Amino acid sequence: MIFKLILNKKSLSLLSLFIFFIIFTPHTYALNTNIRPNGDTTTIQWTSTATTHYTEIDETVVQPTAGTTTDNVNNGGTATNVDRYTMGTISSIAQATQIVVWVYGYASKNNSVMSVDLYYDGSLQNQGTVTLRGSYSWTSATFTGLTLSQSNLDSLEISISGDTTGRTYYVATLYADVTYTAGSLSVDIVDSTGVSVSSPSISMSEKTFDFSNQNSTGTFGASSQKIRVNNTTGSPSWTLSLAAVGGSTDFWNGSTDYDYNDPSSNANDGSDSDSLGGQMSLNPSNGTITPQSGCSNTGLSLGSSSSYNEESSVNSITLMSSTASASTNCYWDLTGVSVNQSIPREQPAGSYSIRMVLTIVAN
Amino acid sequence: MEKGTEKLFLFLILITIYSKIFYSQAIEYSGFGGKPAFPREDNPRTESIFIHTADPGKTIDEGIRVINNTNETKTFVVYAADYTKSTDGGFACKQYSQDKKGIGNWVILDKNEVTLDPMSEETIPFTINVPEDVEVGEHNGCILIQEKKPPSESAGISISVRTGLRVAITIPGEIIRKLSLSDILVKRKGLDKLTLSLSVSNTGNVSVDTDVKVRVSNLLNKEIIIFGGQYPIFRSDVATYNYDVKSPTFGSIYKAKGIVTYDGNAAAVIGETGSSNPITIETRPIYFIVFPTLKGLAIILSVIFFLIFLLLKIIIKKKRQKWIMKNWVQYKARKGDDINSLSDRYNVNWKLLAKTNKLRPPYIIKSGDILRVPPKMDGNKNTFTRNLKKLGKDNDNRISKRASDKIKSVKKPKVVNPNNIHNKLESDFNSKPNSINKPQLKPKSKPKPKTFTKSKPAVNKEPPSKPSVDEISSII
Repeated sequence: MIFKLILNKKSLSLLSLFIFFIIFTPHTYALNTNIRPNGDTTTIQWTSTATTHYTEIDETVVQPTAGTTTDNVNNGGTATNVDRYTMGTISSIAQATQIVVWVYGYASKNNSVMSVDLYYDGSLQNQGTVTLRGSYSWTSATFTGLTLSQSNLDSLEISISGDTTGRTYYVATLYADVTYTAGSLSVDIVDSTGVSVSSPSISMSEKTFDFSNQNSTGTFGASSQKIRVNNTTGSPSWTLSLAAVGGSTDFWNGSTDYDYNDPSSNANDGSDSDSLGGQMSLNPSNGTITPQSGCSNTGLSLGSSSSYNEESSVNSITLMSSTASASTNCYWDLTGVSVNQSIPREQPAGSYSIRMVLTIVAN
Repeated sequence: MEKGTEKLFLFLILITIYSKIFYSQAIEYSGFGGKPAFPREDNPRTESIFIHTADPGKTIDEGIRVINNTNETKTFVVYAADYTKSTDGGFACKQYSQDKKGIGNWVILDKNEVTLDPMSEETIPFTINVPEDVEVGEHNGCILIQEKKPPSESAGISISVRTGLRVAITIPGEIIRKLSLSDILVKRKGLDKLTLSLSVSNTGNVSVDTDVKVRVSNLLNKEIIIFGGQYPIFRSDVATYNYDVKSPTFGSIYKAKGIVTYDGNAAAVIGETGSSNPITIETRPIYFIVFPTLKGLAIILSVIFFLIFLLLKIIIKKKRQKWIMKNWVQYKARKGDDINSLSDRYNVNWKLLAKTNKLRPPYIIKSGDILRVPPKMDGNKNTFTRNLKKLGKDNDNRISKRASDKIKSVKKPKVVNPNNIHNKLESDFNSKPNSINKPQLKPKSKPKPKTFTKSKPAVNKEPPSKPSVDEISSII
C-alpha cells in the first residue's frame, strides 16, 4: 500500500489535522439574519389561545434565551394536524444557503420527534425534524446546501406537525436563522453557460494595408462573451457604460498608434489634444437584451448609437440603463452591440490594442 | 500503518472532495459589487448610493461593503473617482488614471485594496472631506470596485469590468431645481423604424429625479404607446432619451409629445419622499409619418392594384354599355330565332347578347321580342368601324333604322316557340334538374346556352362550336 511507503503515524496525524482544518474552516463570510413567523397560512390546525397562531410564537428572542411560554401553540389531537406559517424575509440577498429553524418547545412525552418542513414557491421543498424534550428547551433543524433566491425566500413558509399518539406538543417560540450572501449590482462577461470569461475582449475585423482610410468592425457581446448585468440589490436604477481605461487621451496602441476618439472625417487628425486620427463608434441600439428566466426587460433601455469624441467630451458611451420600474433580483444578458473603428489611411500593418472598462453604476 | 487508520484517512479525503463538490454546486455566483455600509431607514435610496447634505468644510464618516459573490478568491481595488456624464443622460465615472478634482478627491478610503474569499464581504470605512470653497448645489462622484489583475496583452479591445456606487453630496444654499425641454426630434432608422429623441436640460444646481414620458398617439388622439421611465438628470446636464418606434404593419401618421414631471421643491432630497411641488412641462406635439412594414407595403400595393383593376373594369364596362346603347340596333325577334342563331348571325358572344337584352336562363326569345343587336356588318371590321365613324352623331333611332333595313335582307333566324317551352322545361327539369339553367359546356369551346325552337323543342345541346370574339370589346 502506497500510504505505508509515504506516511508514518506522525505525518498521517498531521495530514488528518490539515484535512480537518480544510473541512471545518469557514469558506464564506456569509451573513446571518433571523426571520420570524409573520402570518398564518390556511393550514392552521393546532390549538392556540389566540385567534392567530403565529402571534403566539413570534416573540423576538433568540436561543439560548428562553421564549415566552405563557402563549404557545399545541397539538395533542389529531396526528395529521399541521400548523404552517408565513415568514418574514431579508431584502437584497444574492442567495440563502442555509436555514436553521429554532424551536423553543416541549412534548408531554420526552424525546418526541416533531416534523419541521420548509415550503417555498407554494410547495414542500425540504423536510426536517426536531426532538422535543419533556420540558421547554431550544432545539433546531438545520437545512444546508440551499440555493434560495430572493423570491424563494420571500415565499418561505414553515410548518410543524407530529405524531400525537400519547403526547402533546407545545411550541412557544419559532424562528429561522438564515445564512445568505448579500446582493450586489455587478457586471461581468460570461460565456454561453454563464461562467465568467477570464480575459474578455472584442475582436475587430482584420484589415490589410490601404492607401485610403478604412473601417474595422466587431461585436461586443457575442454568445460566448455575453455582457451580464446582475442586480440582486433592492435598487433598480443603474447605468452600464463603456469607456477607454486611459480616458480621453487614450489611443490604439501598436507600431504606429491611432486614435479612438477623433471626430475628423476620413480618420484624419482633428483639433483634439493628440496628433492621431481614427474614431470608434458603438451602436447599442442594435443589441439584444435577454432577461433571466422569470424576469422581464421592463424599465431597461439600450443606448443610442454614439461615437467617442474628445472634442465634444464623449468619453463614455451608455450601453444600457434601467429606470425605477426595472426589476431587481434578476440578471440580463446584452449581446450584439456593434463596434466600428475608422482607421487612418496608410496605417502600418501590425497588431493594435486598446483597453476599455465596462462600468456599472448604481444611481 | 493500521488498517483502521488508513480507512479513516481515505474517509477524510472523500469527505473533503465531497464537501468541495457539494459546495461548488450549491452556490449560484453573481459577480462582485458593493453597497453602502450604513443605509438610512428614512431613505431607501441610501441602500444603493451614498447621499449626504453637508456644509463646506465638514467631514462625513461612511463605509462601503465590498462583496465578492464569485466562486474565486479575488483581490479588488477600491477607489473614488469624479462623475462624468455618459451618452443618453447616463451616469458614469471617470477612470482610475484620470485627475480627481471633485468627489474623487474628497473621498479617502481606509484602504484601497481588499482580498475576499468566495461569497464573502468586507466593509471599508472612508471619509468624505468637503472642501471649504465648494460651490452650492449637488456634487456627484463614485466609489468603484475593480478586480486587480494584469492587463490583457491580446490584440483588439480588451475589456475589464468594475462596479460603482454614486456619491451625491449636496452643499446647502440657494438650491435651484429646474428643467427645460427641447422639441422632440424624429430620426429615421430605415424604412420601417424611427427614433424619437427627447432632450431634457437641467438648468439647476442639483440632480433631479425625473419622470420622463413620450406619448405617441394617432390622429384620433388614441394612445399608441408611452415610452419613458424615471431617470436622474444631473446638474448642468442635457439628457437625451431615444425611443425607437417600430412601424405598424400599414404605417400611419402619429403624434408625439414629451411630458416631464419632477419635484420642484428646492428642499427635496434624493430618495426622500416628503413635501413636494410637482412640476409638469410638456413639449409641443409633433406629427410624423410612420411608413408601413415591407409586409404591409406589399399588402397595400396589392390592394391598390386590385382596386385599380376593378376601377378599370368598371370603366370599360360602362364605356361598353354606353357604346352598345349608342350603336346597337333594335331587332324584332322572329319565329325560329334563338340566342345561338342570333349570336352566330351577328357574330357576337351570346353572353353579351343575353346580358345586353337582360335575358335570363333559359334565354327564351319569343317571336316579336324587341332586342338590341349589333349592327349587321359586311364582314370587314374596318368597314364597320368606318361606318361607325360615318354615322357620327346619329342617334339610336337612326342607327336602329339603318340596321333594321339591313336586317330585312338577312336570312330569317329560328325563333323559339314559347308555347312549347313550358312542356320542354318540365320534362327536362324532371330528367336533368340543372340542364336547363346551366348552359352545357363543350370541351375547349365557349359555352352556349340550351335553346328551344318551335319545331324542335328539345334542348339544343350543341353550343356554337367557335364563339366569335367579342368585337365590341376589341374596338374599345
